[in-house]
Amino acid sequence: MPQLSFAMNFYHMPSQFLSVISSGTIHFWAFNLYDSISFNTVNMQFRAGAAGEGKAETYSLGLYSFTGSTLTLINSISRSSSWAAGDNRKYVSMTATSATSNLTPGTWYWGLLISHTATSNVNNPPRVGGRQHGAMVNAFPGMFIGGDMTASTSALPASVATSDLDITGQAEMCVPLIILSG
Amino acid sequence: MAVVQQAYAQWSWPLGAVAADPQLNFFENMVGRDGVSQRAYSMGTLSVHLVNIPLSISFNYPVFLMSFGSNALSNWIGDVQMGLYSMTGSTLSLANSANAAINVSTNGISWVSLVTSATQNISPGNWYFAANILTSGVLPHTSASFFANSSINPGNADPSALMRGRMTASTNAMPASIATSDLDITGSDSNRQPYIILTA
Repeated sequence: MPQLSFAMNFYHMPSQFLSVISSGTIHFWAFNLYDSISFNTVNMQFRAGAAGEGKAETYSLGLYSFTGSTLTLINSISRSSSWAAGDNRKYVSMTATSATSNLTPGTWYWGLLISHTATSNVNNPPRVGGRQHGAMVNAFPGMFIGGDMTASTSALPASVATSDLDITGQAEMCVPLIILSG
Repeated sequence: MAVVQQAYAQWSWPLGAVAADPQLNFFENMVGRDGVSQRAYSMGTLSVHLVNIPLSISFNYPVFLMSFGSNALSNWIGDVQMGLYSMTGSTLSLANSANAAINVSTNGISWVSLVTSATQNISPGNWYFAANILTSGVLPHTSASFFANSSINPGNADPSALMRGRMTASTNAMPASIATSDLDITGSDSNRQPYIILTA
């Protein structure tokens, strides 16, 4: 089985910044991996919510597997980052994995939690680069591919029942860009 | 799925043995819904497009993304059809199909889930998805459109092996076979494919 040096969930860079992922909630989305890759570095794109200067966040990204109707946390990666003067849009490179692992081909799920470490962020949270469309009026009818936690949390949960996730609407079904670098 | 992944990760096979085949939970013909926007569709005009299925997936829940317009006088009543075709020579052969009979009174963007005619696991490789939309019932209908790709409206035929095309004759069902010579492969509508997501 070939070993990839990178993997993305788009064929090219999407050009949208998505609806706000509020502090203390988690957005989940599905990810197909076609060959193995080491879980070392994950890069994502963010835009400052307003004037970014001096604001700081911690980005926590959970890697989940899915069985039945439950997401189970397999691994995680995180990064604390501040917006320097003049920053507006940037990559954030997450490198702090909780454990070394090699991801195998198949479908995995990401859960993104953004925690504000400065009170000035609360009313102007950052936006994530990716793709979204108009608000769907009904819940996604197939197997789980993404959704938002309705309850607030301060940490990535070890398991999540998909019945606790909102799977209707634009922000709920958005697809953030993920770049895995092995 | 996790059990399969775990087994796959832990299994070391001898050189030359066939590796376990990972199973996807979903497959999109336009990754991340990137490049799709709301497009009108000619009723009864079947379109086909090529997809590369990278890993196995169950043909269980095909889902389209559609938009239904505003009209207080009538629901939108119709059928959304999907065909799964394989290609041999210059003929597409129907391997499976799915259908949704819908009666929509809610305006806006909706996921439309189709019911498959038979259980099937789609193996990795090249397949063709076909889509057709029909309307019936009492006029006036509200409008319906797919989310699909845009096109530059090329003036010549796609010189590749068949990538996309649409039937020149109208149809109300998925044909058992389609000769590629019966497909128009020139122009904007022929280069359009609706967004389809399969889930297990």
